[in-house]
Amino acid sequence: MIVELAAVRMLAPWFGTSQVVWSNVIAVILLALALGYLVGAILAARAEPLRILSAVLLATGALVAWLPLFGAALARAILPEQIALHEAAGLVGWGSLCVALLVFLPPAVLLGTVCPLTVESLARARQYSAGRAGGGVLFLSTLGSLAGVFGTSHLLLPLLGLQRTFWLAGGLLLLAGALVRAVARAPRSSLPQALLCLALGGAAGFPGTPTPALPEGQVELARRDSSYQMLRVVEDHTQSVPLRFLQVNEGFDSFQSVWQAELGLLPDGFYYNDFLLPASWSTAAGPWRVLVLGLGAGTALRVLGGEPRLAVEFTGIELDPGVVALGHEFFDLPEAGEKLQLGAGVDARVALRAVREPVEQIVLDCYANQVEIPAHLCTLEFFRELRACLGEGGWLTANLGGFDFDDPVVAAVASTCARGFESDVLLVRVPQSRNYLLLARRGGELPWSGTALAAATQSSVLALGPRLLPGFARRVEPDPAAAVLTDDRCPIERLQQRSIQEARSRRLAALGS
Amino acid sequence: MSFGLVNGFLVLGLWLAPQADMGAVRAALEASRYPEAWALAEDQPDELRRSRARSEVLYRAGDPSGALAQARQGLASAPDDLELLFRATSAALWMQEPSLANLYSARLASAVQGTRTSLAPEESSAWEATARDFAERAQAQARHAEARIRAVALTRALSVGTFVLVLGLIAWAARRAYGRSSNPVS
Repeated sequence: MIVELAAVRMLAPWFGTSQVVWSNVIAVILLALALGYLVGAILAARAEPLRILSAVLLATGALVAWLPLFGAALARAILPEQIALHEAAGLVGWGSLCVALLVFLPPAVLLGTVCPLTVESLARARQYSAGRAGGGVLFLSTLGSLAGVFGTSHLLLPLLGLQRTFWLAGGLLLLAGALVRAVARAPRSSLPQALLCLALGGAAGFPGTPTPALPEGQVELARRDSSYQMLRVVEDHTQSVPLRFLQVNEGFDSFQSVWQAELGLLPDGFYYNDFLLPASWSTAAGPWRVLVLGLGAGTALRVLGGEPRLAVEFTGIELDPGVVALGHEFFDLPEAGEKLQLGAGVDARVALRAVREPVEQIVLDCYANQVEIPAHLCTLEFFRELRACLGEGGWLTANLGGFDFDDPVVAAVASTCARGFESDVLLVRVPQSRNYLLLARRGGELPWSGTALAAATQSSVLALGPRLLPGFARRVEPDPAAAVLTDDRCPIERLQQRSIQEARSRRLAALGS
Repeated sequence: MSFGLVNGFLVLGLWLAPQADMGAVRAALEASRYPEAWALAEDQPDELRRSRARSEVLYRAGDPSGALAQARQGLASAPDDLELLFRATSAALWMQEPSLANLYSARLASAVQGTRTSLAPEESSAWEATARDFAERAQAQARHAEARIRAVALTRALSVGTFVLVLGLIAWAARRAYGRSSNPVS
């Protein structure tokens, strides 16, 4: 289990951790175990299964210590440089499957042989029946898997990091092999020493887990493994002002948070600026309470905090405490105080139940695995809960990644939101980006002129500019006949795959090419 | 931004300078008055100028797809229009559509050759440099796209091959393990 869970994390910087990647890794491990069980059954028929078991454990231990190096080298060889997220559709699926097969299949096959060899050894040594020996081994291996699942996610990866987790797994296997060898009273040989040297070579062969190369002009400021994901802070010196990006399991050109030294609007093309859209029409006086779901490292706070007309008070919710810690360290995210409440380690949906006072604005920017909106954060029931948290006239501003208004994800989430809010919603295209902003209100008029977004009625630091052009916004009505995403049935992962796979063909079709 | 592209913008600026109507569109764009710029584009006296202006507005608004669509509409009636070819190629490059970028950069180069006699020498050479720069960038994008396609093909072949190999091994091991009697376990 340690190897299986760590395998997904090893692939994450290159291919993300989407459902496709998880499915590929699980499929490869199951396939390998199936083969391993059969090979184990064949080996178990031989004269001294305990000695074979010892050799298998030692060899697997030596191999596992090398996995981060093998995996990274193969991924680097396979992936062309500087792949953009929208170009990665085929590579995520086939690339992760290929690396998983070539890197994790051999050790997993070896590990698969352990179970039948142990059963056979136990049965022969203690004269147990097949059922008694098999039951005991399965009991212990299942307990071991349980410890592996919890231990890897909650202790090993956050405390040791990926590379040392693999080394620890390799070390435990070597230790187990040596113990079995002692029990088997195997004749002296140089095999254990040789395999130990091999494992140490793997452990000492490279200074850190390799990650995808950065484009020219970018430098890595920090890299951490949290309980949830691999986190990286990158500073970009190719722009007019230095920008910092938080990347989460990212091997492509996407990012989760942006920082610039000055508070307020980011350069054009960053969707965070569009969270300021309500300020262009809202006449509300007094405190402007904002609930940020998917705080990341706090970019929305810094952008909204730059609007002098709003007396903003924030509640920021972020699932991964590691992200918040990096926010404090590299993104000028302030500590919690009078104007800022922080909920680190809390799921956005769970956080809604703790909202006591209605808020003026909800910022929804929850993404996982690079491109995926979590399934429970885009359903009809969720949007109803969001509406209940808003005061009368309050605004929902949600970031949606997509390629056009008819993008499967954009269309489905907008339609679901309209049904959840029981009113029309607006989709606004973020200029110079592949993002859309979903605007919904609890009561109050939507800023719509009939064919485009209405002109601003209030002064704001955000100039609406191109957003006022026809074709940059679309009004979506609640359609009782349209399929919506629900807690019971939310095929958002499938829609997200379609979004990336069909983007180019839809774009060319629109051009008539 | 490359030297060729800078040249291109300079030439485009010179080209547009005498066109008062287009100047108003550009002034509105500079002031970020997009609805006004769009209205001015719609008011252009003929379809060619409307396409040019709309394409310019959409390009500046960050909608390369819309800009390309407008440029293509204009090119249907004026296939050698340098400005529309320039805009179409820029938009295709922005959209990372190397086949379209190649197509329009080649047409731009050919149109520049065709209008050489009617252009001042410095204008002509600047347009040629722009067309060359566009062609190089389109080729670089095409190489990038090919590398991606090759990577997908390679990973697919390796994955399928390994899968087939493992399934074969499973079939072999299953026959070997259970196809004949083995030693009793107890």
